This record gives sequence, structure tokens and C-alpha cells, in this order.
Amino acid sequence: MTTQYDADVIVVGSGAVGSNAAYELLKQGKSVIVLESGKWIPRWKIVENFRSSPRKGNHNDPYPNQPWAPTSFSPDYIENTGNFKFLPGMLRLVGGTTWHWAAATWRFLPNDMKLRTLYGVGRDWPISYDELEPYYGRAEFNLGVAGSDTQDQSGQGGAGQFPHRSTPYPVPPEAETYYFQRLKARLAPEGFNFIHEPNARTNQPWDGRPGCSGNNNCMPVCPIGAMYSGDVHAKHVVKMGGKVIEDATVYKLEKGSDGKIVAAHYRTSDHKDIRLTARYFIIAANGLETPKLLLMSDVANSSDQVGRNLMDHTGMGLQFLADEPLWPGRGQVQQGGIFNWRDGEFRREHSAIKHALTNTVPNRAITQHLLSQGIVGPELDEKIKDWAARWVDISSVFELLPNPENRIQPSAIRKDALGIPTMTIHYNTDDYIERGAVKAKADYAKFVQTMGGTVINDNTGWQNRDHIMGTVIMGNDAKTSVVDKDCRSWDHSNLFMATTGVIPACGVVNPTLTGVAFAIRAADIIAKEV
Amino acid sequence: MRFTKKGLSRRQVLATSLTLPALGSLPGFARAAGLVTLSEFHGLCGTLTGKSGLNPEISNRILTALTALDSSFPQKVGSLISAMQTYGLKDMSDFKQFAEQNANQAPVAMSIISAWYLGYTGTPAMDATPAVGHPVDDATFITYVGALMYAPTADTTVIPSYSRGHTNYWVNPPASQSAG
Repeated sequence: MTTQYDADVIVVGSGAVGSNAAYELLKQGKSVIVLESGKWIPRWKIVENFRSSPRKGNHNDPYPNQPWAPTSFSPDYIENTGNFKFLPGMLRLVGGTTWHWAAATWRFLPNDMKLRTLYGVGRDWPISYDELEPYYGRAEFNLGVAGSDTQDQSGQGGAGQFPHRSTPYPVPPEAETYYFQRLKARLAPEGFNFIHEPNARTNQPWDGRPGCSGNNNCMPVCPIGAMYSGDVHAKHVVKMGGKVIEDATVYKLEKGSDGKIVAAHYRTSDHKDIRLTARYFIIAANGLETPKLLLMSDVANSSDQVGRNLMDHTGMGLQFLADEPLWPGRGQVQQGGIFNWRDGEFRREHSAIKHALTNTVPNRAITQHLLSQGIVGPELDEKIKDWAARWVDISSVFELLPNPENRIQPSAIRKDALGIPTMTIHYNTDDYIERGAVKAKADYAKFVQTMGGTVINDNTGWQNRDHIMGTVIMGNDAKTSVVDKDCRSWDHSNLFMATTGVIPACGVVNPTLTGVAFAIRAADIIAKEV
Repeated sequence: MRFTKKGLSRRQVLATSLTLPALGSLPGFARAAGLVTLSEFHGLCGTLTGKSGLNPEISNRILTALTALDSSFPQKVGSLISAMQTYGLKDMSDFKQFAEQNANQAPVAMSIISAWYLGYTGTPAMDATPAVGHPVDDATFITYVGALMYAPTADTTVIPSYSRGHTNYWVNPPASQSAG
């Protein structure tokens, strides 16, 4: 008897990672259904929501926040039990959280993938850079990444391209902002290595997207769609005959008698439960919802590692006024940074560090600060103008080590509007990043001194950076990891994870491109088997 | 009482609204609850921001939003106006001294100035990413492009989400600043 399926492959989640996986499968002639808990919403509505919001610093605010598909800032979404309030800004709509990222699309370094072997800490990846490299190239093409083919991205001041590439960046790098140029001109002679940030914010027409025109609003929403967001490939999926079902919150993966997954069960906002079958399943519901779904379904967890090893690039920041006008806020919201601490023997002792140069229009932060000091009248206008020209904002991130105690679990007692458990997160910072923080603060002092600066804030404490990794960790051993190097569950041969949650050692670069590269690779493997 | 050169006194406003009843239905002239008229409040806004030609609709929104936060706000505005009159505050350069002598009035003035400059009243529950939690979100939108904090940099940066430039314009410092 021939078994009938609703689709060859069901993808849970329509963000950048899931939509790219679905797109690659459709290209190879497979039938695909994408299930998305949120809804389609046109860009213009999000832009209008932003412009009329009193919460412009809250990047989730312009987005739909429904009881059945809440953003992560919904008060009951996460219950924290650790020493750090883990609260990333995650969205629930077609396209996912890449609606409000700054589109940093780095490749990890070969050494990032050998952390344990080289430096004796953390974990190794079960895959080498060379093996992943072609998929990085395809991911960069899909996203229209702009980058430099001639720089040493390890931050060690090398003369040429590193890591090596088999294909050039699809889009050339945009011009350096005057702000970036001036900081580099003065800080580089002190030994700080500045690197342009590869980014999925095209500066020339690409795949229906226009070139960036410097609206300076990458977060929370690019008004013109120059910046990539996952809805680009969700739309491609539909055009290619795939199905994207909105308002479909998957709450259970059903196991068959042969150890394979046979169905996904989803619930709609009006509490209808629907069961869909497929040959293969890809869970791409981000680094928190993916492990939650596995744990709720009691699947893929023979290692007891599902939900564990939660990592963010927990960070800190510095704001100061330079002694010259730098004119931040012109162009995109970030463009690169200082990477001396990206790799080296020091990783035996303390975390890697990235210092990113934030380039947002600073008027709100400055005005809030001045008003809090009671400054009004002509002095207020003069100071806004002067400070806005000289404002420097550094956002640093640190490489947390995987720790099984840092974990996300479904709540044992609390449920959302659909009757599905909410999540509990236990997250502690570690000594590895505390030692890194000492180095970062020494850098801060040097930045301020060299720029003739006046400190506004150099002690922010630890902050969320929304780079979720480790929760469905990839490894070489079924006893200590959730998926193998193909992103396939060790326990269920037709179940794959397509999320940054597979990343086993987090380096200091934004993980989305790597999530997409792994998803494309997994799609290729699935396409051969289906 | 007279707060700006263009402002109307309370007596003038009352007289106007009595003799021209149709005016009362126009935006900006509706009589607000409590002890202050919208016209008085608009005049106060001009004094507190040091700006002429403010949009009266924004004054109206601020008065409504701050009254929603604190029902005694109109009375507090009345007290502020009296205190400013008693002190003789005409120029915001003197505000610091006024605030020192009128500790109860200064926060009322600052709430109005803040609304004009930031474009919202109250406190957003999560004002920043990374999120900063406040126990209660009582923020109300007032204006975006009308927020006075953007005017001082109108020649150098965009109001985020709007664009005046083209790809790579950012390679140079602002044209208004580079000459000479």
C-alpha cells in the first residue's frame, strides 16, 4: 500500500532559515508546506506602526503581538530563573525575526569550529569550515550579501582574504560612513583592527530589492526592503508552488512506530487542531521555540541535551562623545567594528570579543539623557546638535561557552492563549565572559582616551544580543548532542533542525547566515532522500 | 497674563470663545477640562520650548495625554502658569533658577518639554533593546516628525525611516558642514 502524505517536507517556521530551506527544496522539485504561527503583514503597515509608536526603542513594538502568537516581549512569554534576564527580541510573523535584525551576515572562522581542540574550552563543531564553505556562498547569494573579498575577517590584521571563499560576495561593499572612516583613522594607529561587516542590506538592486538609501532604520524595520528579511523567501516559496499556512502553531510532533516522525499537529487561533503528514520534517522555529516543541513532543532528546547549552552573545556597551564631529546616523545602523579579540590563544583564558560600531541617529538617546539632567531651552537645542555630531556608540559581544545548565524548558505550570506551555529559561553568565569583560573595558578606556572622549556610559552591565545558539546542539556523538553535522536528529532519521540553535560554539559573529547555510545543506540532503 | 508675544491671555480666550462660538469646535481651541484652556496651554508650550509657530494640534495631544496620566494635570498647569508669572519667567535661559525656586512646578514643565522633544508622554515599558523593563507602560504617542529633538540635526541626519539621500551618500560628512 502506498502511503499518502500532505507534503514531501513540512517546515515549521517561516523565518529566514526555514524559508530558505523550503525554497531550496522547491527548487529541487519537492512539495513543501511551511507552517507559521504568525501572519503575513505588509511592510508598509509595520513602517506605519513604527512611526506612530511611543516605544521606538522597543524593536518588537511595531509587529503583531497576538495572544496566540506573542512576541518575546509579551510579559508572560519567558519566565527567567537564572542570574541574567534572558529576553531576546523575537517576532512571530511570516519572515520571522529577520524583519528587525541589522543584517550582519558573517561566516564563522575555521578556528571557531575547533574551539575545544585548539584552546581546550567549549566544544568543537562536527563539521569543518571547508565542508560548510560552499553553503555559505549559496546563503550569501540568496540573501544578496554585500561584503569585501579582500579583507582578513579574523581581525588579526592579515593582508588578504580570510577565511577563504570559493565565490565572491554577490554584492560589493557599500561605501564607508564618514563616522567609520574617522574612527578607523584615529583608532587603527593604536592597533585596533577595523573590519567591514558583510551584510544582507543590498546597495544595488538584488532579487527585487532596492539598494539601501540610508533610512537608518534597519531595526526595527527597513522601510524599503533593501535589508533582507525572511519574507523574501517565504514569497518565493509561494510563487514556486509551496504552501505557507499562517496562524498555524505547531504544538506536537507525532512519532511513528518505526522511530520516524509521521505528523505535525498545529492549532489555529480559534483552537482548531489539524494534523499534517510528510516524509520529512524541518523544525525552523528559532532557537527557543524549536527545543520547546521537541521537549513538548518528547522527541529527539535521547541525549538529554535538547534545550540545554543555551548561548547568546551576551554583551555590553559604551557611549561617549568624541572631540570632533563624526556625524553618526548617516547610512545603515551598523557597518563593522574592531575585531582584535576575534581569535587567538587568549581564548584559552577568556572569551572572544567583538566591538561593533553602532551608527543609529542618536537624537532620542541624547535628548532623554539631557532632559534627565534638566537641560532645556536654547541650551537643549545646542547640546542636541553638538552631541549628535560627536556621539560614539560601541556595542560589544562576548563568546559564552556552552553550559548544559543554561537551558530553555516548557513551563510546567504556565500556558499561553492556545493552552500551549510557555517557556522557562535558566541563564547564567560565566567567568569566561567576565574575564573577557575586563579586556573590553580596557579597550573602552583606550577608545575614549584616543578620541579625546567624554564618557556618557561605560558600565552598562550585561545585555541581551538576540543571537540564540546551542539549544539543539550539533555534535559527533549521539550521547552528547541533538543533531549530527547534517542537522539531522540522532533519534529520528527524517527530522532536521534548521536554526541557529544547532551551533555548538558561538564565536562572536551574528549566527543567522550560518543557520541559513546549514539549512541549505540540510535541504540538499533531504532532497536526495525524499 | 501673556506668555508669548503671540499668546492670548485667559481673558482674551474667554472673550473670544464667547463672541465666536464656532471657534470652539476647531482643533486647538476646544476647551480642555480643568483650569486651563487649550490656547493657554499652547502659549505655555511656546514659552517652555522657546519656539514660535508650534502646531496647536500637538499641544492638544500633549494636554490630553498628560491629563490622562494625571487627572490633576490641568490644575498643575494652572499653578505652573501662575508661578511663572510670579517669577517673571519669559526666557528659558532662566529656567534652572526658576526650577530651583519652584521645585513643585519644575516636573510639570519638564513633562511638557519632554513630550514636545521626544514625541511621547509617559514611560514605555521597554524603551530599549536590550529591553529595559518598567513596571507599567503608560506611554502615549504624540508626534514623530514633529518631535523637536530632530530639528537641531535637520541638515545632518534623517529622521529614521525617512530618506533624503541615495546609496552611499554617507561616505561624506554633511554637505552643510563640509564647506570651509
